[in-house]
Amino acid sequence: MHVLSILTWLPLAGGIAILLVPKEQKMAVRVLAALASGAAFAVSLWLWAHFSGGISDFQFIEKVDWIPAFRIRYFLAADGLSLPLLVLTTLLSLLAIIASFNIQERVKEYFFFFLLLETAMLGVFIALDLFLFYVFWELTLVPMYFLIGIWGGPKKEYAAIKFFLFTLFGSVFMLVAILALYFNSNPHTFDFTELLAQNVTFARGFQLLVFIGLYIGFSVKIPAFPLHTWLPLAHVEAPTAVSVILAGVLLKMGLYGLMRFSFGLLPVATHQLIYWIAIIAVINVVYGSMCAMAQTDIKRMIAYSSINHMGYAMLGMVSLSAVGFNGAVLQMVNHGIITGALFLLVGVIYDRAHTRDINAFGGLGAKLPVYTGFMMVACFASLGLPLLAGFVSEFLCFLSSFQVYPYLTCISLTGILITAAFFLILIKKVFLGPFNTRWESLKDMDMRELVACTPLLVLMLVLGVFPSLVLDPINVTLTHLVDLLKLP
Amino acid sequence: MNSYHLLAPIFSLSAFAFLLFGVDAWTKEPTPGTRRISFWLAVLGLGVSAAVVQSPLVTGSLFARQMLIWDGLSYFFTWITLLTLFFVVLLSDNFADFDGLRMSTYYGLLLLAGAGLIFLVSSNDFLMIFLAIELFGVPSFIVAGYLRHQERSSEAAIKLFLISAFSSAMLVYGIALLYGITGSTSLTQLHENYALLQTMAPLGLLAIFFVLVSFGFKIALVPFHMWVPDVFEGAPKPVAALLSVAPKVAGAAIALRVFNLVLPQSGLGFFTILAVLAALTMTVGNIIGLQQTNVVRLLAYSSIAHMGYLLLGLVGGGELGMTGVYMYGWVYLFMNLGAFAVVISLSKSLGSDDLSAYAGLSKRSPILAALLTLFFISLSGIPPTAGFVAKFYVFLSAFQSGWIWLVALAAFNSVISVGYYFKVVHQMYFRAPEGTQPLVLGPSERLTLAATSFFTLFLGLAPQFFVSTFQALAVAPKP
Repeated sequence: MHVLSILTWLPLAGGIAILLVPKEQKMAVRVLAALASGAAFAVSLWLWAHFSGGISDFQFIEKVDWIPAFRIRYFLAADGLSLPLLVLTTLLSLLAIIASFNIQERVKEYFFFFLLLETAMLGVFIALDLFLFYVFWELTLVPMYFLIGIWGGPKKEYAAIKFFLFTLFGSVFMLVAILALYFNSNPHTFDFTELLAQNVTFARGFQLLVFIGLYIGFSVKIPAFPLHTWLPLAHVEAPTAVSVILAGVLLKMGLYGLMRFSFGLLPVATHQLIYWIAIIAVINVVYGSMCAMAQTDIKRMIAYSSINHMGYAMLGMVSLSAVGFNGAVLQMVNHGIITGALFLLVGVIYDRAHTRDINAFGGLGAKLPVYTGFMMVACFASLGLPLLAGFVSEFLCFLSSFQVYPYLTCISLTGILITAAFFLILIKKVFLGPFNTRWESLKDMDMRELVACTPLLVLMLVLGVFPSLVLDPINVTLTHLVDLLKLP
Repeated sequence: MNSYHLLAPIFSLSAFAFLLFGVDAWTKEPTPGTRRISFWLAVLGLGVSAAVVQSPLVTGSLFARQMLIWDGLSYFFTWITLLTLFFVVLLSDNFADFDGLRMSTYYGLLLLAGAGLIFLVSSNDFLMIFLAIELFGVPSFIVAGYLRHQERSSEAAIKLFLISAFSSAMLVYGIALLYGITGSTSLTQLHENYALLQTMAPLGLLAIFFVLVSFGFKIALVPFHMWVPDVFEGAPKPVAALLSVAPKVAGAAIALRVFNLVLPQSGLGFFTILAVLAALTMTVGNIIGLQQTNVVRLLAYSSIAHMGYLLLGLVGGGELGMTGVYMYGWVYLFMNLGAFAVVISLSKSLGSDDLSAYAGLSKRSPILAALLTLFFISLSGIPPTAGFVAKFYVFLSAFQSGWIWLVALAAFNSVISVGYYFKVVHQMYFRAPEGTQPLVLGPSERLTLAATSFFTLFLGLAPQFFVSTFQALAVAPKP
């Protein structure tokens, strides 16, 4: 059974099929795209059902020689760290594709790039050969460049190339670090499991350099201060569905890489540098939330809140404890769901009002009850209200980091306050207060939007009450990662 | 004396060249009919030459009084030359600027230039190297100036001629010094007596320096690159395509032979010089590339930068470095000729090579736009294309020899190069088209595009077959 290959390549197969459909049949293209990503989602659910959470080993392993001359393998496998991200990716892709049914321009190309992007993202989370990982990592760039650049907002072209160049800049350091790992292993290998077995032989100085190289590559994607500046621009200019994927999945690639490769392979360097990552996490939390507070564009506000939320996840990681790792991964999943929903919801209002200015609205609560309800739940989940998804993961992150860095954690707690403040301001200005009569003709959410948003809302509630749904399958893997990080 | 069959491809190319000159003498007026006949004769000539290429010799590969050599390196770069010529001939078939010109001479000269390049890569003596460079050079000036009614074309020819003459003079000077030191022009002798170069340190270094500079002009390394953009822009575009691949890659091949096989690390420090040249070449090529608004000039600077990357294989050295150069040359052939093929097919319908003429191309010709994007992605070295595999290969080899700063710089350069490659992509996809009529492609252009794009993708996805073949060829006997 090649489940992981099927999962990875299904979307691309759908994309190629789309290229064969005549340009005029837009509906056929859309349905085909939804089918392909729906099938991928089904496969990922199958994976979840058949995944045994009791063991920390890699599962569903596929290993085929690819370039034997350099012992490069096509090596796919999933464990507790990749599984939730796989399901998140396929779910968000499916919903984002449904949400993009209103795209009218160059429909074929749009869905082709979207499905190509999905294949690349899935590959990143399951590739365990560093060469293959790098290939998938870079493969996300080109479709994303086109998705932002063709279907984006007014400054789309600049946003697209900025996103491209930033990520590529980071990847360069990553590539050099990967080459260094290759030449420092004996026999030379790109295989993650083989490198893991030999990482005790890596000298301290070497580990530090490789860690920094990998970190620069990953931190662009997280995005961690100070390499975050592409994010607000790209998120704001990208079309709604693409923002969902950017925030929901692409940002997770950085954190995933950090946990999987940097932490796993380089324990000495991790212990050495983790304090600096904690500081960057705090900057992300506080600075991200302050920036969000200063925005008047709703989408921009949510984009900056992503920086803030990724800071929480990093903070969970710096404790290097099982609780923290669990919190971090749960935070990744929750952020994907919540921010995905928020971007979809902002898209809903932007499609109708053609503005996202926070001050242009007012009193929409009475006019658009369904929309208001959705938006409020998503905002409350994002600011960490108990019983909604965000609370559990943020709590776990803070809980673990407080034990290690109490002062830094205290500073970052202000981030929570500011986050709460700007979301409440958003709700107050847009939905409460006197009704702005300019929006008399605004309609509530239609079927397509409801279908795209409702699953995310339901998940927010479910994961808020039963976080064990995610935590159970990942716990053993992450506990194992903590063991790997123990210094001899 | 019976080893002359190793020269069969050269004989066959020359024979067909003279046949084509004969056709020219018998035609009164250039007609489409004669153009077709010459085209097919050229294709046939290349086919016959390809059919008679002998497999490389592992032992006793020296022949013709040790003047020539037929090893894996000569064999491999002979194929590169023949393939480049094949694509260039295909691209010349429909090229509109050639209408009304006597094409049989043109094709004959192309074949003759190819013979020169094959000579070059199978030389084992500096005199042969000099002769081969001239045999390639003279036909290439003529074809560069073939559009004799266009001033730019003549300018390109003159520039190419002057630069070639200058660099040949340098080469001869270097050869003279080497002869003075070692008493021979043979590479075999040089290999045996390389210690002499060290004992005669300043003079030996000077000799190597002159040879290096002259090769630098051929491969267009910075700071010897000034001729490239002007010549590419002025010459007929198929000729520019030829100049961007065959002589540069063959020049790199002979540099590989001289610097990596004949002269081992001799303490003369020329590997450091090569590394600095590589660093300069890619950085300057890419940074100036950012400023270009003409697609041909942009490709010219890109070709300069790519020779910088290729040099990483030379600097890296060893078997890995050699294989890296093979791989890079092979991949570069397809991706660069592919990009040129698109530009050539477009030049007629767009009537301009300016960046702005490419606006909205994705609407007018989605296939051409997608292909050009593919070639540019490959040229920028982004996976899963061939360009990435090739870059990865040379990076590996340089990294292995400890040139980590150079690898980092080269990787960083790939980021810069995205800046200009994607300027074109930007125009094609993000801008509205000016005209709306769809663009048509001739059959020979289709064939070129199909072949180059196939290899650009295939080599990226499944490089193993070529990797093992090249590794086998790279363990060539030393002269």
